[in-house]
Amino acid sequence: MLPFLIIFIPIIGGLLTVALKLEDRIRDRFVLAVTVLTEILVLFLYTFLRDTGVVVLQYPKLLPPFGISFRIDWLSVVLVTIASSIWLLVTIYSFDYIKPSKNINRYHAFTLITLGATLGTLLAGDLVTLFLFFELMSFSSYVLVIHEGDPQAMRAGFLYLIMTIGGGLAFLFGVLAVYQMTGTVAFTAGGFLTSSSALSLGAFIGFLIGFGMKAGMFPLHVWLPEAHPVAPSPSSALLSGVMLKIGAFGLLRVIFNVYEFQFLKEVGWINYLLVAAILTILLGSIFAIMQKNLKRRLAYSSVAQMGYILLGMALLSEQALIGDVFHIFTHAIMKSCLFLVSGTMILLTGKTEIDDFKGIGRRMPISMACFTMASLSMIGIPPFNGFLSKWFLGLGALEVNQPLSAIVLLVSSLLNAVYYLPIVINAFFKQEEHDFSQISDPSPKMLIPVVVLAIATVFFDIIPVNVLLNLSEVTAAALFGGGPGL
Amino acid sequence: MVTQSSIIPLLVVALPLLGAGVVAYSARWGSAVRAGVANLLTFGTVLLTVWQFLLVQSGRVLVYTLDWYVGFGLYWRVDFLSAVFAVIVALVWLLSTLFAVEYMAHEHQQTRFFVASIFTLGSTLGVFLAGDLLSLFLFFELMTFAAYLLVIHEENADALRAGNVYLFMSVIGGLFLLGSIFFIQHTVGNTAYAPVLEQLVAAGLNPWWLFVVVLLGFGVKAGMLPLHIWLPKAHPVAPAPASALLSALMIKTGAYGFLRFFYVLFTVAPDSRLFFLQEAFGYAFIWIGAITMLGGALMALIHTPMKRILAYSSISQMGYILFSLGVGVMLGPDGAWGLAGAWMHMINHAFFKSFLFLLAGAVYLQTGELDLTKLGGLKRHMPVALGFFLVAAGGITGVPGFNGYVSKILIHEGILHAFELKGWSSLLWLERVFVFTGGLTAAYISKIWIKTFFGKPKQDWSQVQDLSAGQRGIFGVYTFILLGIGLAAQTRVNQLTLPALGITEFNPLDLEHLGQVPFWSLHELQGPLLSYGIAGATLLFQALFGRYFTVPRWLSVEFLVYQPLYRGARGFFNLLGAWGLGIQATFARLNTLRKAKQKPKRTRTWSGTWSLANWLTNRTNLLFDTVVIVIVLLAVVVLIFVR
Repeated sequence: MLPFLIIFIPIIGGLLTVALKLEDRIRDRFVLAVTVLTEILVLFLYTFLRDTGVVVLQYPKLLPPFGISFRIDWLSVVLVTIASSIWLLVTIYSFDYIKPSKNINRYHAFTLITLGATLGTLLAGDLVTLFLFFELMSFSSYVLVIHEGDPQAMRAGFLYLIMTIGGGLAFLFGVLAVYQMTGTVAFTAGGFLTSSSALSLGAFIGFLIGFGMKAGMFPLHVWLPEAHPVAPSPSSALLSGVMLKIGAFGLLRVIFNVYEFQFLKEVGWINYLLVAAILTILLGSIFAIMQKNLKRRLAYSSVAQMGYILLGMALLSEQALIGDVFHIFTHAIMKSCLFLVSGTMILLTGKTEIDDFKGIGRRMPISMACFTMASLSMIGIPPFNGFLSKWFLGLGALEVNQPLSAIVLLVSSLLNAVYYLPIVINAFFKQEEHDFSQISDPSPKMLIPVVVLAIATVFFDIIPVNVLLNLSEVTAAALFGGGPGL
Repeated sequence: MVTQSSIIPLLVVALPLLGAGVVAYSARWGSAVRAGVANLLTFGTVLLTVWQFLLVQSGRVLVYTLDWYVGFGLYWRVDFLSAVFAVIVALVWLLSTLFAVEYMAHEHQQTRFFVASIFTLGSTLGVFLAGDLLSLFLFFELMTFAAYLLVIHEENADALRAGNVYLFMSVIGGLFLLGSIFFIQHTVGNTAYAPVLEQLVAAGLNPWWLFVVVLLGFGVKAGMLPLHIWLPKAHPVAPAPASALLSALMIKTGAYGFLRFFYVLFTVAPDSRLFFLQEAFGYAFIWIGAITMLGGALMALIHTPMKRILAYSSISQMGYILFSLGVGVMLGPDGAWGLAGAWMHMINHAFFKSFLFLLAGAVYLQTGELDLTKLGGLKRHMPVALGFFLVAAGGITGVPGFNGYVSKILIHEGILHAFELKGWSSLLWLERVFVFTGGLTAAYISKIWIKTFFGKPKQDWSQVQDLSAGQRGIFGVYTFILLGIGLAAQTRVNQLTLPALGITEFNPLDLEHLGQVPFWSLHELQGPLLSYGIAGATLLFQALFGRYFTVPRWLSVEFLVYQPLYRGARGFFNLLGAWGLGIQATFARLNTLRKAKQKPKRTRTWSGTWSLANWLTNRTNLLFDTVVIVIVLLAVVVLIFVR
């Protein structure tokens, strides 16, 4: 029952938000209550997992002939946790952020529905269930992208929609092909598909396109920098922090639970992903450097960082996979922090270009300090989280004899520095060009989530018992077919 | 050697790192309390380092591990080398912080300065006390970023530009270091200070690439030519107490890194077939050191802002250190002289260079001027400052009785020793470069004090007062240290240098000779005389003909290498950007042409006018991405098929 509750409580909560037309304050509390409840239920999954090991729940009567199934293993639980935690923080932030705009009910409703769909995607036990929630997530997040409703947002939303549908179709082709070949679509530990037929390759490429689209993989990233700047900042934080990871998650499932990863390595298909990942890292960073718009730069940075994650799984080494899962955590934390702070800046000043924010750090020191911490973590400076993921990814690359990938990681760190540090330097040390005398740090509701996220960027590198790292290790071990729970 | 687990190294690092927060908090009770807290913390750190030194001196190696520090753990390992330098770092930091209280009184953002300074102290100590490369890297990066706040303190355009150069070069250096750490961790499984070269080569790594990577990793911080360009920009723009710390201590982390790498990590047994590598690395270092020392000294000679001269002087002095390090590395077990000279010079330079920078700060505090062409005639107004300046000058130029003399003798003997053993005539030429640079050093230092204190006053100095009592106290301590090392040369060598040589195996005969260096022999005493002779000739030459010799701008590395690189990168991105704009303009033009023909239609909001041109105009970025995508994909396809 637990997966059902986790998925449908937010979805029903979202529908209720629209249906009941509650008064503003009560609605906010209601939304918060639903999100907190979901988070608590998600934490229960751990006890579930610890007591019973991997659980596959099947409901063949629902939606025949495939049925619906859920799979609770380390990968899904870990990602569900990060998704719902980020969601909670962003929701707290969004109450004050969204206040000045229209259609607040719609915003909150679709945020909740998207939460439910996202969690559903993560908990899905087979490809069809995954596909269902994946599409639901894509469509409901479309409403978040076009929230502002201005022509720009509509255009970006349109692009997002088209590409998502295209990606979805490619994914669907993959699902059908897998079903055609094996007669099953359920995720299996260690994978079940080892056919090297053309259809199999087509399915793999379909998955690559479908999930790569979502993950912002290089040739398919174009929707991402269009959609992020126009979406409200909390939505950008969710898009970048959580929903991009769904693409990565889907690919992890495909590589480890549909195909046998050894097989992918032998036939060399994984190299397509490897090349795409390296291109994503380098070109994402290069595009980011060229951007003048703050959120667009952050969006391209997301592209580059997703490249790290794709690289981590394409290397197929356990150490790289630890770094990979850890980077999913880390990037979710730091990128949502960055987007939330940039949202604060944009909301308070009405400016969007990086050069407009000169000297703003003196006016809102706490927010910008958080931004700085997240930026340093992005660059991968110890003792921030980003360093740890870079460390594991780099060692993993060397482990499978891919020094080039390790060098790409280092070069990309430099490029990260080139586009993040000027923002920080501008904000703290340059003279103000616009009058920011009225501006100060925002209300606690908007500040606390940011501070929590910023502390998290350093916290999970220096605490004695590093929960996130341990989880990443367990997950990686589980995917590689060892360790507890599988 | 007894290894003992002790928490003191952790405390030494943690006290200032955490103390930075206390300083920030204490600022609310006023500047006096803040300054008091900052000084108290630094003093506490001095006491801890001294305690640690005493423990280490009794023959122990202190280690401490925080193995829960995710995945790999943080290690401290304090041997004699680390312990000595920790004391020096803390001591110089204390003197400079004491000086800063008065110097910074009229500056803005004082709290930030003190917080950053104390934090940098902690991270710098961390670099010297770290027990493996990864821990070293952590503190190295912390130091880089904390010191950035010191560099850009003034927040004017110059400072920000210098800060950018500093920051990005340091980040690049850090990444090279991280790269080398990756390879070591991957091959060896840990990054402890132990010989790894044979394993690395056995794993199929090219040792020359490794050498270059390590060179770039620490060379930026060490101000090695041609990676030095950040240094003469960043050190002069920082406030004087910060410049003192940057120049005297922070750049030593680079030398220290080289020391650990080339005396521990990259050493092989002399009978190994890889010994030729160590020899080659050492020989390369000697050349790098010689170029750095000569280049730095020449640049110092032609500049007139006092702090910039001192910054170039730091480069030159780092050249001495690298030079001597190279001698030691090249000779392997016979290289005791080389290491002793480098080590002693690291210590001495820390003292006399911070002394000089603080004196420059004291002059600036009174006159508001640092350019030598605008100073002059201060001797009547600041006689005490002149006296202290002469002491510092004695230190850096190696006048017998002052500390610089000690290390210069060791370095000089080291290179002669190398020549004796190897018999390569190039080594003799390098020795001449060393002597000549000594002369140039004396020349530029003399230029500073002559042009500042003597000659005709170029401005009205009637408001200028001599050093305050506090400054006299600080400079008195410096004088005491400089003379204390210089006058008791042999004792200090025995105390500070001989135990430090324990990091690797050396020929006992050399160690014995080091125990009885003929510091006061007539032969050695000729060195400083020669230096001053060259200095006099140089200054005379410069005074007579200097105006005919202007160094052209195109001769600098910055102009030759870095600016083209930077422009190339900028140009690349601009080109990409212009390309995007051009595409946008083309489509905008198409669009207007098209629109001019038709009547404007009512547009729906959700998709705009649905025409390709219009669509693309509004999506220049998208289009641009698409074009790049097509090109890259084509390239990939071509690459695949060409194979």
